[in-house]
Amino acid sequence: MNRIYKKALGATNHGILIIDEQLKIVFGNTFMEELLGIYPDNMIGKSISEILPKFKDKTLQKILHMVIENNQKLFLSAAQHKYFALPRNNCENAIRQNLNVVSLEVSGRKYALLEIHDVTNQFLRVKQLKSYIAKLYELQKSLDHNELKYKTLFDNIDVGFIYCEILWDKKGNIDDIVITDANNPFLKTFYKTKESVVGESLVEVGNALQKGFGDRMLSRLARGKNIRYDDIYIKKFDGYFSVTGYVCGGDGYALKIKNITQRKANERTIKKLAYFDQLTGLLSRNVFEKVLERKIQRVKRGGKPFTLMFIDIDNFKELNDSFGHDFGDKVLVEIAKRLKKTTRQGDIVSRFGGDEFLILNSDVESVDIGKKIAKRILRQLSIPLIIGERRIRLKVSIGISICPHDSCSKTELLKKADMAMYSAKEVGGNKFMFFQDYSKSMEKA
Amino acid sequence: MEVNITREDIIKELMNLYIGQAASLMSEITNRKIILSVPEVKILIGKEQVAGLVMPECQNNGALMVSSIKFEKDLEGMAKLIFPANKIKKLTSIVLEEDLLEEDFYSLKMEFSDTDYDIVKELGNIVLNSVVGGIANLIDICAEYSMPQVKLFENIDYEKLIEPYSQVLLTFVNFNIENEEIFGAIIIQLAFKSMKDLLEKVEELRSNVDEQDL
Repeated sequence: MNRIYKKALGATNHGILIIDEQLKIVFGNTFMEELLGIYPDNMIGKSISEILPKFKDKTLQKILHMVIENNQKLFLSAAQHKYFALPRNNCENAIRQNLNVVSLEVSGRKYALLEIHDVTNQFLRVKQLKSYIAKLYELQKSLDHNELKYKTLFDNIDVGFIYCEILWDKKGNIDDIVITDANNPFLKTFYKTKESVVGESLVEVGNALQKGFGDRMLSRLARGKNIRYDDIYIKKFDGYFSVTGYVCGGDGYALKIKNITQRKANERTIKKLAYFDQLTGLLSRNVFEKVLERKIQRVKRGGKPFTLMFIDIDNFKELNDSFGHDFGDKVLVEIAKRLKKTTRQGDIVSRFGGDEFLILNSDVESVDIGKKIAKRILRQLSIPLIIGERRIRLKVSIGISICPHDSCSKTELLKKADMAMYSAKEVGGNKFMFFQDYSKSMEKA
Repeated sequence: MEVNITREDIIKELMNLYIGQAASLMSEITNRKIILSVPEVKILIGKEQVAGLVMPECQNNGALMVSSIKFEKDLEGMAKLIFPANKIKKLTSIVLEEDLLEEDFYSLKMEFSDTDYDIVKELGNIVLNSVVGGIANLIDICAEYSMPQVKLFENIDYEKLIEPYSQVLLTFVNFNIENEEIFGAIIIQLAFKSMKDLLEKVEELRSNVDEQDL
């Protein structure tokens, strides 16, 4: 029977030793033999500290005595004690063993059964797990750091941002869009506090900014379209804004709200610079030529005739030389005002360059109407100008070409009006001349 | 002058003695200065009295780690050492001399490894052996112990920890390890006869103290 027990204990995959009250070994299983390289019979009778040097430790000896005397059971962990039986050729740092100590009483004599369980793999797993958790925590810290970085960016970028959460009803339709965060530029632009915005419906906040704006945003999202308004005027804040939506994963939705009021103002200035003459505020030559081109096309399609007047100030160079360019500029500004005042609604006045002006008189059905306008201009401009302390009387020469009578080409019309103007100037100035009259006179000559 | 010594006072002194021995052994094992003290003991009869109990440091976090041993033969019952789970990491890191920061405790506190369980198992085993062994010696009877078990309970539920109709000796324990305070509790459930024997012995001791005073 003893042999059966010995075999059974030997077959276990952990080390077993039985010691008596003097801590001398009375049994060691084959696992211990394999572990230590000591034949079991050579262990018997030897003190446990001789076979397992770890037990030279007085505390461990005390524990063994205590367990035996008090009939106890005790668990000693690898976590605290590392190992109990150091295998041959093994580094003590690499091995971890738990120890169970169980008291036994056989035939009135007391013993302790020591079970040594190798938990090295378990220990390594825990070590790896701890290292993994530590790395995970580092990653978390790094993510927190990134979040902080983006949060700082979020709050300090000069573009308004709000984050929302889309709520769905049971049918899968959008029930509401709730604002979950808003950055400082948004709050500052719309005079809001975070508390007044977070948790509120985007639709209501939008409608409060501008009537129907929130509803329009909801409607776009409900139709599966992204929110995008490149240029929306919000009267309440007297400003222009661009609003763009972004899907932010799951049910998250972000809105970028950019105040483009200044950009719009800049655009207007740039447009003005390109379209208008800086000194007089009249249409620039480029724009005038485009309008002229369109008018010619209209005439070609059967539209009413128009006249093109080329106006040049007589002796403007002398005026400039005598009183300076500033004075000359003031004269040009005043003439522009008078030309605007004199022309009919729908007529277009432009500064062609220097002291030359162009007028396009639409719908001139007869030469008489052209004459009337020209006379009116001459009359208006003959009224003395008072600039500073000076009073001057101006004279101008006007050349007139008629579309389609004289040409249906922009270049030709300009050229012919110019020729007529020079002709008027040659005969003393302060006159107007139609190209057709000039042409006839040339033919006679 | 009359000194009113209650049976709880006697038990508290005894428990201080037993866990003092355990602390001494634990200090030797861990090479750490460990001081255990008993601020309060309660004797509870029946499950109902246990239901309303709250561990002082567990009010906001219900998870508990419980190391338990069974004992039978003449002294019959079960002993449990309870720690708030959120303190376990601190306890094990002190024992293992791991250099964890406060923020690490926060991040790791509810991630328990086999190592953590084993340390609680060993510490609980030593404390409980000492206490149960002390009680068995006091009433001069024999106990046979089981190997310790460790379990994690997600919520405070003392009722789950205690067998119905048992007699309970509840002891709060203050662990002071390297000046770190960790609050725990020991629950000792005794069979009716074992509790009767214990209380009779305590009563005998109390009478002796009273006579000495007189």
